[in-house]
Amino acid sequence: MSETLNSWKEKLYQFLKINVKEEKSVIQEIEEQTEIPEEYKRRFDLDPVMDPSQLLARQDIQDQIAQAYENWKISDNPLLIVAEHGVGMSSIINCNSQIFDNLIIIENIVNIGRRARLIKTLKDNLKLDDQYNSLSQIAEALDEDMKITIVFENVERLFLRKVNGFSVLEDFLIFIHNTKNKIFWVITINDYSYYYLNETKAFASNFLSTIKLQGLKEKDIEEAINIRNSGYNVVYLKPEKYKTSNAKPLSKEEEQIQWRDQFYKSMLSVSKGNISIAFIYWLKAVKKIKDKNVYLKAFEPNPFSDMTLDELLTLEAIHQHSSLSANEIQQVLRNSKKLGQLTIEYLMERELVFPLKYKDGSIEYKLNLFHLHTILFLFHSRLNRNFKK
Amino acid sequence: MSYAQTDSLRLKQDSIKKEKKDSTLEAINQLIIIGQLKAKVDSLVNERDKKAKAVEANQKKEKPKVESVGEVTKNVQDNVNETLTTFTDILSFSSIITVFLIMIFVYLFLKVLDWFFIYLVGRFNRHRLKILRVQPVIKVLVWVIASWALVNTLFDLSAATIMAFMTTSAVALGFAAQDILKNIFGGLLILFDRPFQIGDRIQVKDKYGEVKNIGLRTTKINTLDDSMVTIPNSAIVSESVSNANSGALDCMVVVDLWLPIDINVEKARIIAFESAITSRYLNVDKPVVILFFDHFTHAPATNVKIKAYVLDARYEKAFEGDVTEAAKKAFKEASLYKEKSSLTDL
Repeated sequence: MSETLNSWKEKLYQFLKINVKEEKSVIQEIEEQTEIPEEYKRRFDLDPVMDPSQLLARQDIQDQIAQAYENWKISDNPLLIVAEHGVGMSSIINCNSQIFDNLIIIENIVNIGRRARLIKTLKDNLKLDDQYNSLSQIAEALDEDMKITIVFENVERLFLRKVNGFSVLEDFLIFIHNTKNKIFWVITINDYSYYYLNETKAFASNFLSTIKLQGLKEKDIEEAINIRNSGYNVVYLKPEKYKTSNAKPLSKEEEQIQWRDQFYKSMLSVSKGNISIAFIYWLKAVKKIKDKNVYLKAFEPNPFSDMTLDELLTLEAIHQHSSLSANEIQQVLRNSKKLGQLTIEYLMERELVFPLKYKDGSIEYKLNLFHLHTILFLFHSRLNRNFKK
Repeated sequence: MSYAQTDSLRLKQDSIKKEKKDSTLEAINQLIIIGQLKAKVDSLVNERDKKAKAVEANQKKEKPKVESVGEVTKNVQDNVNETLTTFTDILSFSSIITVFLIMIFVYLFLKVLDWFFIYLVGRFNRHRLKILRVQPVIKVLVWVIASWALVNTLFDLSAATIMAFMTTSAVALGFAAQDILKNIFGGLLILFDRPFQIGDRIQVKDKYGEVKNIGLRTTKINTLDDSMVTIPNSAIVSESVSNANSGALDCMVVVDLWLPIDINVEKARIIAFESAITSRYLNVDKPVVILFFDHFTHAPATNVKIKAYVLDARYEKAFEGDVTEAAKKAFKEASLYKEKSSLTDL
C-alpha cells in the first residue's frame, strides 16, 4: 500500500514538476558499501579466461573458428568476429590457441590512430627490423613460406570518427588483403563500431567469413556463477520490489526459491547474456559475506532517463571507439575542449564512464560495462539508432 | 296560282325571311350588347366594392381598435410571462450549473491530455510523431462531444428542431460565417486527409517550420527562428504544401558547399563524404550522396551538394551547420580554397 502511495506521489510530483531530491550524507553512503574479500572478488574477475575447462557453452563458436581456419588454407579468407564487450571473445581466442599454427595476438590497448604506431606494433609483433617504414614494405618483407595466425583485437581502435580519420584503418585493410595468403587474419571488432563502419564504409564487404558472437544462455550463466561460488553458501535476501501472489505465508525454503528466481530474472534482464555484466551485477548485489555465506539482494539499476543530447552523443562516441581520450572526444564531437571535459566529468560522477590510465601517463575514458545495455537502449530510443545485436 | 302570284309570294317569303333574319341578328346583337353591358356593370360594381373595402381597411389601420387600459396591461403581462417562462426553461439554475461543470471538465481534461501526451513523447521518443498524430483528433472529438452536451443541456433538441434550425440558419451562416466555416472544414480535411501531421517540417508559401498544433481553425508552425506562425487552415488547404519528413523521424538535408571551379574533385568528394559520415547527427542507416555541379552565374564555381539524412528532423539545421563547418575546415587544410581562381587570373 505504501509503495503504491509512493509511486502515485512520485507521479503527482512529476505532473506538478516538483523536484524532490533526497540528499544522502557521505557517512551514510560509506556505511552502505559492502566489504567483499579480495579472494571472492578474484573469482569474478573480468580478465579473459585462459583455461579451456572454464570456457562454457562455446563449442559451436570454436567449431566455426576451426572451420574458418581450414577454409583459409584453401581460399585465403580472413575471419571477422563481431562481439559486444564482455561477452567472452578474448576468452574464446585464448582457449582455442591450439587450433592455430604460430599464433600472435595483438591487443590494441592504446589507440593506434596514427600510421606510425600501427607500423611499429606490426613490426614488433612480427619481429621485423626497424628499416621498414610502411605497410607495403612490411608486406614485402614477410617470408613467402610464412603461415602464421594473427589475432588483431578491437580493430575499431584504428579509426577516429573525423575527416581523414579512416585512412589508417583503410590502409590496414589493404595490408590484410595483401598478406592474407601468408597470414590467417582473425580480426575482432566491437558490435556497435561494426554497425557504424558497415553502414558508412561497407566494412563487412572486406570479410567473407564473419562470426557474430551472441551472449550466453541463462543456464550457462548460472552454471558459470555456481562454479565461481564453490565453497560458499548463497543466501538470497528479499528483493527491493518484491511481489507475490501467494496469500498464505511461505516457508523459508520456498522464500529462498522465489527470491532466487527473482534475483536471476533481475540479473539476466540487466546482463542480457553478457557474462561480464552478470558478474558485475553479482558483485554489486552482495550485501554481506560472513562465515562462507554470501548474502545477495536483487536490485534495479538506474534507468538514466534524464540524459542530455550532448551526454548521449559523448557516450556514443566513446562506445564506437571502445575508449577515447579527452582530446579525441573533442575531435570526434567537434566540441570545445572545455565542454568535452565538463561532460566527461559529469559522466564519471554518474559512473557511466571510468578513466583508463596507461603506463605512458595518457588517460582514456571507457564506458562502464554494467550500464552498457541501458545506454544502448537510450541510443535506440533517444538517438533513433537502429542498432540490433 | 299563276307564276306571278307565286313569284310575288316567293318575294314576300324572302322579304319576310330577310326581315326575320335581320330581326334575329338584331336581337342577337342586342343580347350581346346587353351581355357586355352587364359584364361592365359587374366589374364596376366589383371595383366599387374593392375600393370600399380598401377604404374600410385603411380606416381600420389608421384608427386601431381602441382598447381599454386594463386590456393593455393584461396583454403586456401575458407577453412578459410567456417570455420569462421560455427564458427560464432554457436557462434554469440547474442547466447553468451543468454548463459550467461541463466547461470546467473539458478544460481540465484537455490539460491532462496535453500533459499525458508530453509524458508519452518524452518516454517514447522514437514513436513521438505517431503519438502526436492522435492528439488533434482526440481534441476535436472532445470539443464536438462537449458542444453536443452543452446544446443538449440548454435546448430540447428533436430532429424537427434541428432541421428547422439548419434550414433557417443555413443562409445566414453561409454569408456571415463563411470564412470561419472554410477554416473549420480545412482543419477537418487536414486531420483526415493528412497532407502533414504534428512534428512534420513543412513549407507553406514562404513559411518553413515544424508543425506544432493542428486546430480546427488554424495550424501553428514553429519556424527556424523560433517564431510561432499561425496559418488559417483554408489558406493551407488552397496552397501547395511541401513536407520534408512526412511522418518520419528523420529527413534529408542538403548541404551546399562552394569551391573554386578547378578543384581536385576526388579530394573534395572524400572530404565532403567524410564530413557527413562523421557528423554526430547523421542517420547512418540511410545513404550519403555527393554531387558536383558547375556554376557560372556570378563567378565560376563548383557547387558540392551533400545529400544525407539527419537522425531526427529537429536537428536538421544543427546537422547542416556541423557538416558545413567540418567540410570547410578540411577543404582549407587540404588547400582546396584558393585566394584567386585561376580562371579570373586570365
